[in-house]
Amino acid sequence: MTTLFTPRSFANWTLTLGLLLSTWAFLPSHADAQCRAFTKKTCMPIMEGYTLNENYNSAILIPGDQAELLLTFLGGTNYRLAICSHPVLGDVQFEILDAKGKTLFNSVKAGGADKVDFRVQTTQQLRVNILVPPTKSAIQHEGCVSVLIGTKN
Amino acid sequence: MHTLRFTPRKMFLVALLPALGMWGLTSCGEDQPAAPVVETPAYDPEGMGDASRTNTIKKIFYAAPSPMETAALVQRSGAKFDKKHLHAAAARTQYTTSDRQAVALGIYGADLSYATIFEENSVSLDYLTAIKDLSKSLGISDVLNDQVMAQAEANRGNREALIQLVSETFSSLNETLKENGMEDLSAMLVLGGWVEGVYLATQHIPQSPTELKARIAEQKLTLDDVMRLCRSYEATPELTALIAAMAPVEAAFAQVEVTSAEGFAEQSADGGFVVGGGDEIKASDATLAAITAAVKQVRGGMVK
Repeated sequence: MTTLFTPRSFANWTLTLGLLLSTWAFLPSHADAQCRAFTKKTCMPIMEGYTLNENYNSAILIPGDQAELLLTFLGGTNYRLAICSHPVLGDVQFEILDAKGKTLFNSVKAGGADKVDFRVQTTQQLRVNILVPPTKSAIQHEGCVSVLIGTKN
Repeated sequence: MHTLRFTPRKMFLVALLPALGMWGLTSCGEDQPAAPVVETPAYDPEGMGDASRTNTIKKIFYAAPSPMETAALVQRSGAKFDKKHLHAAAARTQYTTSDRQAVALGIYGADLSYATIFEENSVSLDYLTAIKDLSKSLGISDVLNDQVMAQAEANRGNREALIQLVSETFSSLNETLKENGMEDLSAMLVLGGWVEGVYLATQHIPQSPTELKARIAEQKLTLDDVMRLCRSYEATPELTALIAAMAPVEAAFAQVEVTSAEGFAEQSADGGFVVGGGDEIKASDATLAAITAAVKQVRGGMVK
């Protein structure tokens, strides 16, 4: 007589299911989906009153990682730039530089700001440099970092 | 005869190998390759987990101004809305391949932005329907679902609410394409939107020559953003062809003169700052005529 579920086969199937679930959690697409959910829930409210630029700029970063965004900002427009990151990453720093590398804004000098409002008088490309502060902690975490840009007339 | 016995240890290895393979396939796109995995991260719903790599990277984000921003420039110049410049919403059924649909999605998105900025809300709803149909064809129908359409209908008299809805919809379309591994289509959407946005601006030059000529010349910088974004993705044959088709536009914008000048930032009373100065960008009438012709030619190859 054949038995479909012996205690041993049940244990094997449980192990397989567990492994498949952890594989799913392991895939970057799953991490991206979590990042998207984080951005929607936590970051979007920061942009209230501003119309979001239609680009989606988010990534899973670890301490010590850097990110960069180069974008043209149009003259006569009011902008809000927000760097929204998971608290596990600490105080993520950012600076805005003009095309010649001159620093226009530094979040550390602005008291650890996570967003800045500015008006661009003349169209120009600006560079945003982002740094996730390194940590000496033995256990490293990774978290979502989103760059949000909005405009207001 | 050998018998294959699945011990828990073997099963672990069997399950782990595809996981490592998938990780290797999907983790491209950063400037430096990530280190081998040290442990399986467990993600919380808030977008954090144990680090899946140990080496640090520099992530480059690629972005471009949205068609909504370009449409706002046209409106601020004093130009008037003219429906005849838009690509017919009814033509959406003519696009049958995913690459053409993605480009058309971008074109319709720019038309939608233009209509919304000028408060032509009934026209906006026509284009929103066209975009919904194209999204469905591309397999991303969940973004523009019935709830979003109902929200648009309920806000048809509210310009600001429609602007927010359009921007959030296109941001979600962009995200969803990227998340579903269709980054090349996301780039095509952005490129289609840029071409249509600049095309609409050039069609209004006679109404506001001085202001619009200056704004169009400045699109040299946004073209740079868009082409950089497109070239950052995997060069599929369709994307490569589209980038190649942009050559006349790139050549026309190459004639725009950029004079180097110092920029400045001043604190403003509200705690923010004002960015001024910077490079001076100018285009002669001949260059603007060349841009207008090149953009029209490239758009002609995109629409049916």
